[in-house]
Formats: sequence, C-alpha cells, structure tokens
Amino acid sequence: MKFIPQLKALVWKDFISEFRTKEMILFMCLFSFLVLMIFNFAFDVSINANRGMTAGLLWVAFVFSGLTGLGRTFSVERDRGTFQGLILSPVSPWTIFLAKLISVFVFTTFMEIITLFIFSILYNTTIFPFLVPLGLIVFLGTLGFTAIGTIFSAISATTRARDILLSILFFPISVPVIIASVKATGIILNGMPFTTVFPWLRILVGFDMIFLLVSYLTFEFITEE
Amino acid sequence: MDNGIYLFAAFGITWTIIFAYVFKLFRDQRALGEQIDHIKTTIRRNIRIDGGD
Amino acid sequence: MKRLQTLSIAFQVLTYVVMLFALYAIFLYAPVEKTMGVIQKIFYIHVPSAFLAYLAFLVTFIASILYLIRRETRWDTVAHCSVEIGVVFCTIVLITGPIWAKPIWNVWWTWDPRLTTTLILWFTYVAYLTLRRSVKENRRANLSAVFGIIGFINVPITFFSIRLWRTIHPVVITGQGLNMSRPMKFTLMWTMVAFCFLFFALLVSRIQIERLKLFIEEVTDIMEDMISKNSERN
Repeated sequence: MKFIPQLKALVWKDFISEFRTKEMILFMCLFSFLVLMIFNFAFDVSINANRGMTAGLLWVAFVFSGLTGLGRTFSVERDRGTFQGLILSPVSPWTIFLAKLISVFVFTTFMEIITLFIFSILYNTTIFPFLVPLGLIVFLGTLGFTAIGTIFSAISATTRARDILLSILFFPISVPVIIASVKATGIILNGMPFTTVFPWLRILVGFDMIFLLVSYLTFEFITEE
Repeated sequence: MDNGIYLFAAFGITWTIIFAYVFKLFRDQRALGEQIDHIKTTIRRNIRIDGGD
Repeated sequence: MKRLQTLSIAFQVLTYVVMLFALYAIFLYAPVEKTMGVIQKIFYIHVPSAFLAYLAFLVTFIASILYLIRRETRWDTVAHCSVEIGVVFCTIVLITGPIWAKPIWNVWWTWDPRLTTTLILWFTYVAYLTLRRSVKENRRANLSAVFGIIGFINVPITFFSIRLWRTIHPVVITGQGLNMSRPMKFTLMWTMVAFCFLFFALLVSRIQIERLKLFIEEVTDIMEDMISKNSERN
C-alpha cells in the first residue's frame, strides 16, 4: 500500500516549504485579524446583544482568510514549476488532492485558532465553555470549504486571473457550508443545547462527504492536460 | 388596474431578453458566414497559385 | 448536420405556433385571479422559465458526465450551450420574480428558498461561463465538465440548507399554492410546453452555431498550415 507513505511525503513537503518562509500562515493570520478589526468599525458589534452576528463575523474572517491560503496551494506549484513534476510522479491524482487538502486544512485550522484567540480578546468574550462543540463545527465547516477550495484552486491555478476566478467559483458552491457553519456556531455561542445543532451538523457532514466523493471521482480530469 | 404596468414590464423584459439572445445568435451566424466566405476565397486564390506551378 | 438542421427548423416552427396559442391562453382564456389581479399572469412566464433554468443545468450535468466518460467534443458543446441558455431563463426568473413580488407583497426581494437557490444557480452558471473564458482550449472542456458536475450537485444541498435557515427565521412570504382553476392549470401547461419548445429551439440553434465555429477553426488551422507550406515551397 504505497498510498500512505506517498501521502505522508507530499504533506511533509508542503509543511517543510511552509515552515521555511512561514509566509502563508503569517499572512492568513494577519488578514483575519484585520477582518475582525474592520468589522468592529463597519458594524456596531455589541457582543452580548447579538451572538448570531459574531458567528457570522468569525466565519467571514475564516473563509476570506482561508481563501488566500487556498489560492496559494496550487498556484505556488505552478509558479515554481513543480506542478509538472507532481503530475508526472507515480502518485494518483487523488493522493495529490488529499495531500494538498490536508496541508491547507492544517494551516487554516491554525489560523482559525489564532483568530478565535484574537476574537476573544478584541470582543471581550470567552469561548472556553463552548470549546468542544465549537471545535467540532469549525472542523466540519473548515473541511467543507477547504475541500471545495482545493478543487477550485487546482482548476484556477492555470489561469491568469486565478484569485478572482477562485472566488467566483468558490462562493456559490460554498453557500451551504457557510450557512450551516454560521448558524451552528451562533447556536453554540448562544449557549443553546447541543441537540438544536443537529440539523446543521447533518448538512455539514453530508456536504463534506459528498464533495470528498466528487473530488475523488473527478480530480484526475483536472490534472490531465 | 394600475398593476398592469408591472405585467407589461415583466412581459416586455422577458421578450426583450429572449429576442436579444436570438439576435446575438443571428449575428454570430452571420459572422461565421463571413469567415466561410473568407476561407473560400483564400482556397480559390491558392488553387490558382498552385495551378500556376 | 442535416439531422440537426431539420430538428432546428422543426423546433422553431413549433415554438412560434405553440407560443402564439400560449399567449392567447394567457391573455384571453385564463381568468383574472381574484386577489392579485392581472399581475398574476406573470406567473405563466415565471414558472416555466424556472423549470427550464433547472432543466438546462440538468442537461449540462448529464452532458458533462458523458464528456468525461466518452471524451467526445460534442458533449462539451451541449453542456456549454445549455449553460448559456440556462442563464437566459434564469435571468428571466430573477427579473420577473421581483416584478411580481413588489406590487403584491410590497417587497422587491425575499430570501425565499426557491428564489434564493435560483439566484445561487445564476451565480453558478455565470461562474461556469467565466471559467470557460479564462482557461486555455486544451483544458477547457475537462475543467468545465468538472465544474458543471459540482455546480449541479450543489443545487439540492443549497436548497435544503436555505430552507432550514428560513424555517427558523420568520418567513415574510409563504409559497403560493397550486390551487388553481382548471383554465389556469391548462394555460400553465400550455405555456410550459411553449417554453420547452423555445428552450430546445434555442439550444439546437446555439449548438449548430458552436459546431460550425469549431469546424471553421479546424479548417482555418489546416488552411494556414497549407499556406505556410506553400509559401515555403514557392
């Protein structure tokens, strides 16, 4: 089963190249920090009055910042000229996809943790009582949008206007993930019982599974020339 | 009956959109026809050149 | 091409004829609705257009799958042309909807699940067309096919998530029921058939044009090769 060692190698490659410069993580965290700050001026976000809005704020920060990272996963390969090498190597396209997904997912999750931390400071609120359910929702939601983001990053990496095309492709498809994540997060932060989140969790899990399956079936067509 | 203006607007816009698209198709077809003519003249010119060989 | 030509003419003729009957039915046969008045007749354009917008994307979905399996250019052509026409019908839905809503419920837009999903559908179509314009020819068909598949699968998921969202918020507008009188149902059916013929007429014409375009490109390429070889010789 060469799959696991190949996967580990590819993921490790991305980790190492990121740790050298730390560029992507730094920019992602900086950007989400900016988003949190701008929102304070754009909307009068009085935390205790409207918890639903803070859920939206969090996910806007996560998604917009995540997109900058997603845009880079495949475009750096194109820019460095390593994409061809990746395709020509005896690794299945699905393994390449999964490796990219894992690395982007880890970086994005790291950014999200930092964002949550900054959020709790800027808005004087604590999220510790909600850590576990919040963690589950953030995990499922992030998995969803990074999965589709990775597919569309691969699609748009070959074009000139790659970041704009990525956003245009990404947002209509990500609507279910964003709705479900924001609603579920809002419910959790409002302290309501966990069972009320179940319908949204079902949507998130369904979305994740469906799009992982679709990417498995179609990714080879994206990489072939 | 003042709602009639909305009805008129809806039908008007709908048919405008449909006819605009049909017109676009028509214009594309004409452009393609011109390209075909261009190809025909180029081939004829080249046959004359070849014929002169 | 011959078969496509006769099909095209047949659909066009049928469209004109049935559409004339439909217009007669809409304005002279169907009764004026009690509560809404004349404006209810927008419904006869709005509903068929919505149905066809979704049908067009279904056609694209199937054509995309067939393209990825069979790798025949014609499936890519069908997918692409169906999206274009789908955008036309989707735009009609999104414009006639608000025009209907404003006098009746005094709002231009509602975040009703069906209308919102149609808006997302519109964005997905436009994204498909943007994708096609941005990528080079050698990968265009593949990437468009993948996006056509992903976009369509996303539609039911989006609808259910928006519906769930709306049931928790107070809903301003409830969906209209289909309790129509017989003449109205008959008119709707007639209009639906007319619009279906319109859809197929437009689709076949557009596919013809696209095929002609591809053929001319091929011939032009061969011709340019030929000319450059000739000029080398001479």
